[in-house]
Amino acid sequence: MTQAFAASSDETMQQPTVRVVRQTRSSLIAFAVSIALLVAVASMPLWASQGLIRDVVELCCYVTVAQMWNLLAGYGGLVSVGQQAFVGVAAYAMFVMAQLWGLNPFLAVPLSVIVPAVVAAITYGLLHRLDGPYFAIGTWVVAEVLRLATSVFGYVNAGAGMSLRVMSSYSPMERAVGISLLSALMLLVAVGGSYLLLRSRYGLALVAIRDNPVAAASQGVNVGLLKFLIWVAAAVGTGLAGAIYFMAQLRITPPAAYSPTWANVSIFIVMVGGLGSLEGVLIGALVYFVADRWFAQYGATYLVVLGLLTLVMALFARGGLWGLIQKVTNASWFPTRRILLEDKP
Amino acid sequence: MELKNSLWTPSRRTVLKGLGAGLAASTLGAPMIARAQSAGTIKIGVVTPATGPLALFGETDGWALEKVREQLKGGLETAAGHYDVEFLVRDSQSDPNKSAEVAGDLILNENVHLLLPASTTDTVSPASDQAELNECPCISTGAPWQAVIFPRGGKDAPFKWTYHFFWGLDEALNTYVGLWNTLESNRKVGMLFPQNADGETWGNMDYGLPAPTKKAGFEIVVPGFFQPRTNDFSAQITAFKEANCDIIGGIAYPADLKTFVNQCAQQGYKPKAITVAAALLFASGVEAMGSLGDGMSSEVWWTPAFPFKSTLTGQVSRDLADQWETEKKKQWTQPLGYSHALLEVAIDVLKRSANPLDRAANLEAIVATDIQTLIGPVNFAKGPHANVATTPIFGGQWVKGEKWPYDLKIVDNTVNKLFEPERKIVPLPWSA
Repeated sequence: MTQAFAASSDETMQQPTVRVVRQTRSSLIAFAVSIALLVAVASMPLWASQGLIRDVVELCCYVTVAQMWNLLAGYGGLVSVGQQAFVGVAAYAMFVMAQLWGLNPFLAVPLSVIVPAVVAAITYGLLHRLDGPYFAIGTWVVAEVLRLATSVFGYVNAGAGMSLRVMSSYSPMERAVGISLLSALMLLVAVGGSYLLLRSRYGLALVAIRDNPVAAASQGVNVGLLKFLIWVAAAVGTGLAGAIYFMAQLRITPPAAYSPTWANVSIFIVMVGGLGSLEGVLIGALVYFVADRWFAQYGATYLVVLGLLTLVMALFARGGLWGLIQKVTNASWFPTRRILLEDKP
Repeated sequence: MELKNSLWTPSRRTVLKGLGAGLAASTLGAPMIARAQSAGTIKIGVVTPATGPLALFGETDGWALEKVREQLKGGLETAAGHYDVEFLVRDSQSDPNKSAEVAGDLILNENVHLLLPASTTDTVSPASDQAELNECPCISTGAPWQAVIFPRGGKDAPFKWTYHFFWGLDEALNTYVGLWNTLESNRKVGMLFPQNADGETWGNMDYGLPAPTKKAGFEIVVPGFFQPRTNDFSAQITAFKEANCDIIGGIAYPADLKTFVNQCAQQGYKPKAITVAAALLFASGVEAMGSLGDGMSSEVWWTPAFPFKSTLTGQVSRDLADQWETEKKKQWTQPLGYSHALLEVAIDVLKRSANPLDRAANLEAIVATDIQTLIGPVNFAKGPHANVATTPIFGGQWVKGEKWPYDLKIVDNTVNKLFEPERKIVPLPWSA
């Protein structure tokens, strides 16, 4: 892999009339806006109401889980419908550390991601032999097995679940500060981390794997290792979102923690927003969140509408909303492509 | 009263007349008179499983709420003055995550003055946790109180903001034992529990069904817990058959009980009584078993045979059930009484509150609750736990009905002697 990249960059060096552009004006603006948003999320306790903080935290969790799914499906070519496994184990790890071991819950959240990382590493040993739909089903099986195992595990109160009562020992302000900072950190890791990763040479290798794993391997990309790393990284990101989400929920039970809704929501957000783009996830998450807030009170019919929307998108607009936007204006917010420009003397 | 109210168009003259006639004392008339001077709008958040697998519970919640909304159209006369009442209803989709989300939204964004998570642990517990942390008074019902208090960590540390009224698991269990005591049998009980929150609670050896059953001198057989939605009960049936159990007790959902009963029939196992919770709550669950549903027994939350009057409408249980059956063209269901009673308690709390727009004042009023509702008395001071008021429970048996395929008859009053049972329990027809 290294040689392949080194060779290509040498070629670029030898021909100075051509240059690679990776930053556009729109991306610079988007970068500034992202930093501002991140600061806004982190400083929420200073300006936002408790209710708004709660909503933003929830939205951040959706963005993160969907972004991780996008990383897997849109770049790694790994379609998982069992991401809830990592949501669940991380959330349970956080509950155990905070409620049973008496650890500071805000510290327990970042620590809890160790568990999904380990679970991901172990399960990949079983899953990496499966391909395409078989892999998807395999991930679901993993999630179900973990749900069943948790529901008979007496230490975490088995099927009856746990409540995070320790949270009431913190003042509302402390809780707001803690969860806002954690959410900002999560966004930074999930969106910022994905952006950096995709712009790196690993990102290029990932795109190559998605398009054709055999061809990528023939170019010197270590397909197996890279898939493993992206699987573990996505598990960590998903787990972080799970721990933060359930810290806001205060209560966990196995069916809630390992709810397949996480996979459904991720698929919706990514398919409607735009598969294989960072911008699409942000748009998709916003669409889901707004639909959920506005229409949830009129019954669950809106879920049917969202499902149909996903179907229509998958059939007629595979690039999602972001793809449609891109057709009108080619102003990328987070460009991960390399644009080759020829300098005319 | 209702009719009068709907025909009454409030003009200044009629208002004055009404005042003269002393209608001010009536909860229905009074709001109309003072509409113009409303001291504010009381916001009540209701979280109910309107859709999803537990939608049968939400159905009665929604209907009961519609009736009360109509009544409170003109506002509510309270100790602190006249207020408008707004109900904000949110669907928990039978999902604990959704329940916590909508409850948090109601408390923090809508600033409700009182939260009412209506029924089932999946809706009640997450919503109550949100209320507790975010300091909003909360009254819930529709789930055995231990299942709502203990898993939330409230066994030794009582909650400040959340109150629950319902019968307790211990009472349900004693009802079961009472039922079985009146039945002639070899006093061997096979137990059926699912692998979930309910199964863990009901099947607990210290405080679940096995404890009082053993204490009452029954021999018990507890095979492994079954996975919900399994299609194979042979392990359990073999164990029950080998031990020759005359009675089956436990908890199961309708689909699981149907599978279980069918497989019992196929494998030639014919106990004298099957008494399970959850699955036999609704007539639909009994009808799903076809003719095998006849004679199934269960605990009774509420039936139209309850003699108490509603504090809101003055209806007795029979009236409410009839109204439901006429309007919905469906048989009454047991949660209906509780759906109505929850609103009775909520309105009673607001009426007594020193300031219904103040959460702390509403909490004080909740603590002081002492009211006789459609489903019986509710009094948090007399409860077995600081946050709990217990309500009556009876033993019942489903028998072939007249108007509907099956009717629930009260056959045991061991736990609450409030009124006499309607008849005596009979063994399942297949064992005869």
